[in-house]
Amino acid sequence: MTWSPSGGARERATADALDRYWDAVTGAHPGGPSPAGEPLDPGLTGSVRRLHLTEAAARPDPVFAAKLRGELMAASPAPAVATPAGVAGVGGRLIVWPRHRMWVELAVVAALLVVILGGGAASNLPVSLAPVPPTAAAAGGLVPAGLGGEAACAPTVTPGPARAASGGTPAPTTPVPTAPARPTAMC
Amino acid sequence: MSGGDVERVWTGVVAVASPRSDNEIDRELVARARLEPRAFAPLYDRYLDPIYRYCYRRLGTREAAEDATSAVFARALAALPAYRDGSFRAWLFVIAHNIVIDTHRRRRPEQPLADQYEPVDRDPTPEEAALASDARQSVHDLLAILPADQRRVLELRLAGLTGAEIAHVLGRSVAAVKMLQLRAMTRLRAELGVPVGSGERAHDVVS
Repeated sequence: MTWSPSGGARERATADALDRYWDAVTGAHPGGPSPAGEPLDPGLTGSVRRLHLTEAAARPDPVFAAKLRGELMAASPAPAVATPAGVAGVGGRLIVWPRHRMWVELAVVAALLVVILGGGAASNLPVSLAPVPPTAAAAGGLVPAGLGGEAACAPTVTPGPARAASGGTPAPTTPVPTAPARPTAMC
Repeated sequence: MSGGDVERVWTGVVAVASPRSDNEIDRELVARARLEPRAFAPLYDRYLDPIYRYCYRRLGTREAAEDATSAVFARALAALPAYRDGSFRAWLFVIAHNIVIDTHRRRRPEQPLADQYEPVDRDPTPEEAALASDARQSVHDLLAILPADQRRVLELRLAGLTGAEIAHVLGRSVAAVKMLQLRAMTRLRAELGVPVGSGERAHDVVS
């Protein structure tokens, strides 16, 4: 952006004054803006006021608010496992599932069960009697052929919540929360 | 000390500490919450409404706003040990901002972010319909005419952030944020139909 020197200086002064005014309106500076500050165009200050007045107070559902509060308070002190859309965990950690994701993941689990049981039936071997390869046993359970063994069960680690925004939205530069790397694959 | 006691104590701190700045109060609450997770409750109570409103304005549905709000606070609680200095409110809104971006990307990954502004419920429940008042729609319509960068600034302003905090969340300079909000308000002033002389001068404001 380029401005003419005089117009630019004046515009910056107005921008500073508007910023101070707005901080005062939102209560950030309880004492209000400095009396020595640049006088603002009443039309601008009126617009700020009007915008806040017309901003509807969309409040969260009290049931949701209470439920989330309870879940947060029940969370363990150890960092919870966070995902972009929600949080899942065990052992007292947060269980905040987005509705749509919960059903998708349940469907995936059901499909895997069908594959495992169907594979056992197709080979005429009862699943409970089928020999378990040592690697699969070491990996912690039954792993159908073709789905991989330890490699498939190796947890993939994704970065913590600090993500650089791209696509036109600048990435936050400072205190971006850094949670420990988290496993996203459950085996 | 039981969890309830912790919550009461720290709610009390907030109540009696009004002369102190929000940042000072937040810093104390964060320090306490690091030691005792239940002490996170006052922080949750302080910021539930602004975070929810911000998510609702950006995402447009109650369900999406609730999911995002849940993720914001869960992630904040998990990442609390990583929080150092600066405005806790800005730090929290960085999380909210990133989660909203993630949500938009999952919805329509092929679209540029600048085009992903559609906070309108197509099939609102009666409760949502009540929330979607004329005033909210008015603000929504007003913000929709602004360029994306100006809109982001005003959305955070309406969530109660200061100019410096907005700069932090958006990764812009404070001067850039000031100019964006000035230009946004200059444009909205005409849309709002605010005649000259209907406002007050800056030094008249006492919150």
